Formats: sequence, C-alpha cells, structure tokens
Amino acid sequence: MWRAEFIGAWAVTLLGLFIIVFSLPLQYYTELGPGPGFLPLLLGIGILLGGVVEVVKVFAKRKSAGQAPFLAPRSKLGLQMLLLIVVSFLLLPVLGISVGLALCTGAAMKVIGKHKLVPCVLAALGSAIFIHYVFGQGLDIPLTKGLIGW
Amino acid sequence: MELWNNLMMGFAISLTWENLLYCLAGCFVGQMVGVLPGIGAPTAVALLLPLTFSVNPTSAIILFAGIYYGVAYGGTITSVLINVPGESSSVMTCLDGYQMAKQGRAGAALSVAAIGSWIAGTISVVLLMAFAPALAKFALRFGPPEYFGLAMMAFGLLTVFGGGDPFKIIISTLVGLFLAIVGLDVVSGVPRFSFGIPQLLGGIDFIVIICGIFGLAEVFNSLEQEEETGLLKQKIRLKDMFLTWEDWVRSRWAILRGGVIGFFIGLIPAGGITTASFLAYLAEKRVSKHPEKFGTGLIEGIASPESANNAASISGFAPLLALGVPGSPTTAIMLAGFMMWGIRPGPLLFQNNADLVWGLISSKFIGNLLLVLMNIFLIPLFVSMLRVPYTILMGFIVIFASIGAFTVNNNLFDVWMMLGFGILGYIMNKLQYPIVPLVLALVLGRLAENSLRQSLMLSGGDFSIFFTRPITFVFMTAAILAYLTPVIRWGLKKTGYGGKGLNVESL
Repeated sequence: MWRAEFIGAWAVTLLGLFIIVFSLPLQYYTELGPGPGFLPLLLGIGILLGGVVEVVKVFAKRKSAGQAPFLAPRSKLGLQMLLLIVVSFLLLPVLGISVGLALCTGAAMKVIGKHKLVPCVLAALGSAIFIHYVFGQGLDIPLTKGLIGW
Repeated sequence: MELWNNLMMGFAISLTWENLLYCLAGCFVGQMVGVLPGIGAPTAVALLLPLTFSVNPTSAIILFAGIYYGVAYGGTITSVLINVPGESSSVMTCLDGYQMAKQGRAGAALSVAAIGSWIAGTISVVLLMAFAPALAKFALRFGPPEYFGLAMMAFGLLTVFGGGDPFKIIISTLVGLFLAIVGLDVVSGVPRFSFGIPQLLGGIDFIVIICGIFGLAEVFNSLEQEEETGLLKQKIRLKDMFLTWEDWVRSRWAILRGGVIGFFIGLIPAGGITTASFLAYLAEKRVSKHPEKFGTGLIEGIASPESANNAASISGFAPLLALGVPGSPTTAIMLAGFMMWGIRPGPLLFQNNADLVWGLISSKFIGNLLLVLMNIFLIPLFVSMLRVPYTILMGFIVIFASIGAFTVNNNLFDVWMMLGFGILGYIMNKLQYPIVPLVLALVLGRLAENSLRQSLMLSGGDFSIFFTRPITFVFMTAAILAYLTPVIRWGLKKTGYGGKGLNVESL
C-alpha cells in the first residue's frame, strides 16, 4: 500500500506541475482585473505544494509501513469488472446501448457473481428490454442503436 | 400569516397526485437505497438526476428530497439487523441498535428510529420554514466578495468536519476547483485545458463526473468488500414494532435534543448528517445519568442520533435554497440539478420560484409521514432486500451511470469520460483522498472563481476587500480558522490539551 500511496502523491505533484505549465500561456492579469490564467495558476501551485507535502509524508513513513500488497486480493474482481465495462463500451457503437449494457450486466453476473447461466441470460434480456422501453421509449432518450436496431 | 399562506400554497402544490407520487417514489427509493449495500444517497441522486431533464423541477426536487431523507431512515435497518450501517449517518445506531436486536427488540429499535426521525424531521421542517426565508432575506445583501467568502468558508469547514488527512482534503478541493474551470472562460472566452477537444469546450459536465465518481467508483469499491451475511434471523411482527410506555418516556427528550442538534448542524455548510448523529449521540451520553450503559442496547442511543440525522437532512436544504451553497454531497448534486433545470438557488429563489420552495418544504411533512408508515408496515419487505446479492445490483448501477452520462450530450464520449472518473473515484478512495470536497468544489468552482474575479475588479486588485466588509470578514475569518484547525489540534496535542478525535472507538 505504501508504494501505491507514494505513486499517488507523485501523481498529485505532477498534476500540479501540469496545471502550472498549461496555465502559463493564459493571461494572468488584464487591465480589467484577474485574467483566465489567474485561478488556474494559483490552483496549480496549491496542488503542487500539496503533492510535495504528501510525497514527503509518505516517504517519511516508509519504514513503518507494513508489507501490504500493492493490490488487495479482491481487487482482481474490480479489474475483471473494469475489463467487462471497457469491452462493452467498445461494443456500444456496434451493439447499441440497450444490448451492450445488458450484455455487460449478464456477463458481470456470470463472471464475477458466479451465478448460473439461466439467471444471467434472463437478467441480460430483462435489462435490454428495460433500457429500450424505459429509457429509449418512456424517457425519449435517443440511445445509440446497434445492428439489430435496438 | 405570510408563512401560513406560503405553507398552504405549498400544500396545494405538493398534494397534487403527480407530486404525491413523486414524493412516495422518492421516499421508497431512498429507503431502499439506505438498505442496499454499496449505494448511497449521492449515488442514487446522481444516477437519477439525468433522467429528470424533462420532469417538472418541483416534482423532481420533491423526488430527490424524498430520496435524501428516506436514506436516513433506511440506513437504520442494516445498522440494527446486521450491525453494518447502511449509510455513514447510521454508524452510531449500530452501537445500541444491534444490541437491542440481539436482545430480541429489533422491532422496537426500528420503531423508535422511525418515530424519532419523524418527530425530529417535523420539528426541522417547522424551523426550516422560519429560518430559510430569513436567511434568504439576509443573503440579499450579498455581493461577489460575500459569495467568495461563503465558498471559502464552505471549503474550509470541510477540513473541520470532513475527517481524515487535512492535506488530502485540501488537495481534493483544489482538484475539484480545477475540474470546474475546464472549458471556455466565461469572461474572456478563452478556452482553458480543453486541448482542442470540442467536447471539452463547454467544460466537463457535472453529471458525467458524479455518475463516474459516485456510481461506477462505488461498484469497484464495493466489489473489494466481503458481502455481509450476518443478518439476524429474527422475525419482526407488527406487534413488535409498537413501543412500550417506558420506551416513550426514555426516548422523548433524546428525540427532541437530537432534532435540535441535527437542525443546527445541518445548517452549517459541510456540517452533514453524519456529524449531526455523532454529536447527538455524544450529547445524549453526556446528559445521561448512566452513560456507562450506552452501547449495551439503550433506546436513547438510537433515538438521539436517528432524530439528529433526519433533522440535519432537512435543515441542510436551508443553505442550498437560501444561499445556493450546498451543505452535503447530496445537496451539491441537487444544486447541479437546479442549474440543469435553469433555476438558480439563492436569495431570489424565494421570490422567483416560491411555488418550488414551498412545494418542497410542504412535501417534507408528507414524506416524513409516508416514511414512518413505511418503516412500521413494510419492514419485512426492506429486510428481504438485504438478501439481494451485490453482483446483481452492480449491473444496474453500471446501466444507470452509463445512460446518465450519455443523456448529457447524447454522445459516447461522455460515457468514456464517466468511466475515467469512475477509475479516479476508485483510486481516490483507495488512497484515502476524500471525494466530498472535490464534489463541493466542483459545484461551487464557477461561483467561487467568478466572485473572486468580480471582487478584485471592484477593488482594483486589492485583496483587502475580503476583510473590510463585515459579512465577508466573518466568512473569511471562519475559513482561515477552519484551515488552521489541523495546526491548532496539533498544538493542543503537543501541549497536552488535545483530546481524542471524533471516532466511534472514542465514544
């Protein structure tokens, strides 16, 4: 966990630096008063300083930090879910939102929840119908349609 | 008399069939959300908000208010039956609620929580009716410096009430402010941090961020936690729900004290319903003749925090409606909703949208009554929801979050961005960077920047404008003191005066 915190603190520092760099071309002060770069620059400096403090704090406690793994054992489930979501989002233009998200629901139940196949298929079917009729028809949201026209 | 007329007008609005249905739906969903694991009030409101684009704003806000205070009721059920708070505001209820359940008095525990919440909620609505219009009148004097001071105070108070590492709270606030300024600058029209991506010119939509950071991130976080299976196998019959005379006598003052404490904590920006329940429990323990018995199943230990969290969830609307400053993540999301519907909360809301304000306030009387009835008669139904596996629920969260993000501009770019914010929310949670300050800063970011720039334009760049006007001076002083709290705490600790922090173990 210590390594994750250390990387996180560095990421904050780099974010601060990034904001400072990209706010420099913006005008800091105009004749009317503060310009568009005024607040971003201050925020960048604040985030950078905060990040540096965090880096120092995390570094200082490196010896007392335990040997907890970088990823918790159950983080694997989160990664599986992320993968399923990414795949279904990639397929949304082809399958359409109703079918794509319904497949994601069914697959998540099967892969992560280890449910039997029939409930997963039923949940996917129910989800597709729910999304199509409630969101698409009932709430009139122009959902992206896929190859089957849903 | 004016108050009475306004209230009657409110009832005429909230008692229409349409609004009654929205109120009922909100209370039911709120109660359900409070019971279900891995989903809280901000998540529920965030996921449903995009679906109310075409709904009448009064009905939509009645629905969301119902969810907000419904959650405060629902969280009690898991606290009492499985010793796991459904919501952070119900943490204190676990201490005595679970013990009462183990003694076979789960029904009485749930009942006193529901009745206490109802009484305190009603007290809070009455106080809100008197307080909110007065606050709005006072806020009519506010100019840009006052609004900037108010935003600073709200951010500062998070370091006091937020809990956790103050540096991380500040970083989270600054990141929220940064996300708020992405897009075209409203004064100069210059694009900022959009990197030529047309979808970013209008800024990152708040709904996209909250659907990711609350909805999707909750899925990733909840998957890492073991599912609770310790549900007490106790059949709760209707007759178990009725309180004995002794229960009434012991809990009456606890309910009143909790209600008043909750009301005032809810008024403070960033005060929040969790803080209210903590403080109410502490106060109850302090005035009790037998404080050592707290945590062993005392009915006062449930009545007080439950009354407080409900009262705070209602009074939290006062700063939102009268000042346009949210006091909690859920009201921050509602503020985004107001903006989406083209309504600007603040002092003029009471004049320009009196129907919405009084419709909302009066609906709280009805909602509280509906919830107490639901809690007495529908408990078995809500208990059965505890058995729904999270792996089924998460699919629906993904669906609502994705479609919620899609509805903003009807494009898939927002859906991908929502996924990015979901990952950010998960990482922030893992590294213990609080999300609430980010959300509050995100909502108030534009207001804070515009008021800062307008104030400095007025003063010709002189920062003393924030300390020479009395109201701004008070806000800025409070903000500075709040930011210095960690230093003050550290100093007190070093000199031997520092007490333990506010945590469950110390109670």
